[in-house]
Amino acid sequence: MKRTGDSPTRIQEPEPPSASRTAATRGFQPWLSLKNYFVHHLRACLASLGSLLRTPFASLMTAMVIGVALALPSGFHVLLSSVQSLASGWEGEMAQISLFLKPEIKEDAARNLAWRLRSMNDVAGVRYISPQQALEEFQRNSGLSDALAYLDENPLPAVLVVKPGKNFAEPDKVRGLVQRLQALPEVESTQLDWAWLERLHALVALADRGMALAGAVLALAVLFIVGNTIRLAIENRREEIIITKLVGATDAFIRRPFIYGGIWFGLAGGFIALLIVDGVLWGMRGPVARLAALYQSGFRLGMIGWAASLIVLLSGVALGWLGAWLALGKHLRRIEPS
Amino acid sequence: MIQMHNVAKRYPTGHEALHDVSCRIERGEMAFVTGHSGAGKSTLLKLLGLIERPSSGELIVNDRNLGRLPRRQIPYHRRALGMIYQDFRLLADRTVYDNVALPLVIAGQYDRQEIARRTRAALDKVGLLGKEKFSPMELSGGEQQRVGIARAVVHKPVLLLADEPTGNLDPTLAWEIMSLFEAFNRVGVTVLIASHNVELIGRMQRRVLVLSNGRLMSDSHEAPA
Repeated sequence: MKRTGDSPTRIQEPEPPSASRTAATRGFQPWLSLKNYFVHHLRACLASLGSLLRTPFASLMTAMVIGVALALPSGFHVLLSSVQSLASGWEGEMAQISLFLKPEIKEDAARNLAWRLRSMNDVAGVRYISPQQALEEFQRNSGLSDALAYLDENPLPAVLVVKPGKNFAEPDKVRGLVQRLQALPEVESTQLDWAWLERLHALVALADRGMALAGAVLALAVLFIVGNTIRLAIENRREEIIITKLVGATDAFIRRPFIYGGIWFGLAGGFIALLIVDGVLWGMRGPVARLAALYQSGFRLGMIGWAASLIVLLSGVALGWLGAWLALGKHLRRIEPS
Repeated sequence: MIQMHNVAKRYPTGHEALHDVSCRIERGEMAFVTGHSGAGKSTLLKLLGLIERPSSGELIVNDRNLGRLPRRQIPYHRRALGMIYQDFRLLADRTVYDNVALPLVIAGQYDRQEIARRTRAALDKVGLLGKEKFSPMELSGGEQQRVGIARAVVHKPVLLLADEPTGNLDPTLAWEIMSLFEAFNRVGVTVLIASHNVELIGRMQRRVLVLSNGRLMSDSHEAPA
């Protein structure tokens, strides 16, 4: 390109055109292009936030839907893990084996057996309950004291309550212990008082699986919500996309603000989900503490922790990002100037 | 700058917009394309801006073979051009300044001061300095077209393509716009203008290509003034 006829005194004259490929003449400058890259991203990131804030109500509605969808699985997860930690605390505390002794076993023999059992290393403690004690306890708790008074003799057997050692509180080991105790000649029958704990475990596992599946479905919903919102945003800015393409915008340049839009939606949705979960947990704290007090339990409902909060936010961001990509897909390619 | 060898454009509907067009436009030239409406003027400019691909023939613009240019190279081709449209194609929700700065931002210019300097220089050239903060909708047709021209030249393109740039303007404004194109041409920009305004083209005394039914009927081959 010749640069002729441009006299320096004529300020109003346009400047001569640059070489057709300015970047090529400048040479490759990795630092500059890296900086450029980040500036481009930062600009798109802030611009997309700005455009979401220009329509605060519509943006908030979308973020709310995402927030509710994310809050459901994360809230239930917190509840379930609270119940799980409660249950595992109980295993050590509450697992106990009742040995119902044969009627002919006298108190001396029973106490002797109790003493023998205490020396076993997988037994933490043994409590002897005489038939008389058992009867008194039964009268106290059952409300059948009048009826029981008519009985000629005490029908209840002596009971040894065996508490497994701390390190032997797992279901399999306890079951092994139960079998050995059952084989003792003095023992009529045994009862493991933790069937209900196992049922609780099974229920929690079921609920956990259910929530994981529901979470997956809700994640899919978030994907579609973000996807649809971004698709509408693309349609609204059709003219702008065409014009920027005409002045030489690359697909990546046009895609970027929409991708960041999706990320912002996901992040806002994640924050809303955290607010909802913490709000609900906070609201439930009083009643739960009262219920726990009734069971003489120090159980406290946990708040959602830092790690879990981070996971909620990151899943929001990831789903927003993915949803935006899904919406952009081939759609952006179809918007071409004509 | 532009080389066409037997270029044809057929649309999927079967309509043949351009038929066997061959010509050559040198760097630094200023030329007009004219003809009745539907003669193929717009199609020709669309091929040059890669808005459409030629169906056959060879089309080389700015050393790029447009028939074979990969899709992802299209933006880089367009960055070497400045395109001007009859309907201006401005972004209504952005200021005049943002509209003109757009090609710089897109091309990766990140230095705000450099963007400001070049944008103001471009606006100065078209006489709109002081209207940066306006919305394009607040300007008259002639001013809007000058914003379009500022946007087309802000990144110092090597080739200006204008499709009926004066179609919506009265004769005085049209003449002003044409004078602007001449000024850009004087500093070496190749300029190609599609227009059906025969009277205006006659006054410009430049090379004129006449299209009719998609064929190149005449080429005045006048040397640049």
